[in-house]
Amino acid sequence: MTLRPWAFPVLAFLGPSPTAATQSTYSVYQFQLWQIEPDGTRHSGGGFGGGGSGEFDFRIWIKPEPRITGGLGYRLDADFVVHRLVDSTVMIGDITAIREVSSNAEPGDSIRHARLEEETFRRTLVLRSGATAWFYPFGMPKRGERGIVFEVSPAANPTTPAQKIGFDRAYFLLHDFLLTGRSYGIEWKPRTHSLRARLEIGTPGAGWSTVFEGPVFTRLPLRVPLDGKGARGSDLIFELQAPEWGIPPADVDAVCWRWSWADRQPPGGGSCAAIHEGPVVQRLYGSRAGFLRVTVLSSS
Amino acid sequence: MPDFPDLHRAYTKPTESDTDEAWRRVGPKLVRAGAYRMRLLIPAAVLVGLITAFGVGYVTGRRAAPSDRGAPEFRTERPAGIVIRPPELVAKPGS
Repeated sequence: MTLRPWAFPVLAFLGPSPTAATQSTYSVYQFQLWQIEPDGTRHSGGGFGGGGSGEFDFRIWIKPEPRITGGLGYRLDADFVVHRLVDSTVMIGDITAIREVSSNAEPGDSIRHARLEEETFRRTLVLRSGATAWFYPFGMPKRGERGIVFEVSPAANPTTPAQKIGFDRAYFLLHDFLLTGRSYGIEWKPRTHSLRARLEIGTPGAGWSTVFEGPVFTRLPLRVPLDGKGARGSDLIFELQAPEWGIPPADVDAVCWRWSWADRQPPGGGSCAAIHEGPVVQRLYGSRAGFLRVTVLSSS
Repeated sequence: MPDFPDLHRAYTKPTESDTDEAWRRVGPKLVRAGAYRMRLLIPAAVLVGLITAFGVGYVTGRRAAPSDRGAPEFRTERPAGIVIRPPELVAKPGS
């Protein structure tokens, strides 16, 4: 199920919900790569498994061979945040596709000039129990086309050990496929998923009123009612950004966020703050609420 | 028919020598006319060639797919049959 814009208000309330926010302390994944043939049949390209007793996210990168991309460079990075809830899993991917539009190399020189085109996509999925996520990096192939898909299943039972298949084994399985072991990769690492924050509106002179205090989750839009003080009377949408890939949670000393209005109209903004280092004040442009004061209380 | 004289008597039939003489006068002109037509054939052939080349180029251009780089769907068929489109994430029952 791919989420449409109208579903975001539903997601927005998942954040402050104490029941839904209770997360498993285990994160185990099973990845299965499939190749889809022109007649619709699919063949397994091998599987991987991994994870651990922490809040693990995963990332898939693909750099297909030139025969697939017509000789020009192409790279896709899909960075997924995974929130394990009591009865479901929310996966939010920020996907960046970079393709070479043209390139030339000067004779006798090692410099190669390329004109690149970058596209970014946000893909959100709510997985119920028993379902698995299917990630089509090149879109869903139509009849008569070939394609690949990654099947990602967060283990429903955290005590179930992940299936272990070594990378070398996977390489040989994939050798005849559209992607080989050299042209893609899967990583899963622990990453900060949430923190406690206090959101206040007001002005430095007239004082502050708290509009939210509690856990906020990475990439999960949090909807904060402002009693009609928002731009055009809209509620505030607050979204915590995921830390850069690869930074261990213990080393995260600052977090960033973005804010917007629930009617999806401008303006919007964002800022960053160090954890445990006091509030950050930012003007809420276009509203009667004045300023937004964000205090990061703790990383949870 | 008293109003018309005997025309066949007014114009005598040309003799053999008259006919030969007439052919001698006309013959070179006919040869020159033929050579002139032959000279016209060359530019006509060039013109036909140019028109044919233009037509072939036009049809080939019409058949060629427009450049699709930058389009939302990167549709160019690859040897492997892959078409690159925006990524999708969907939920399905486990395999």
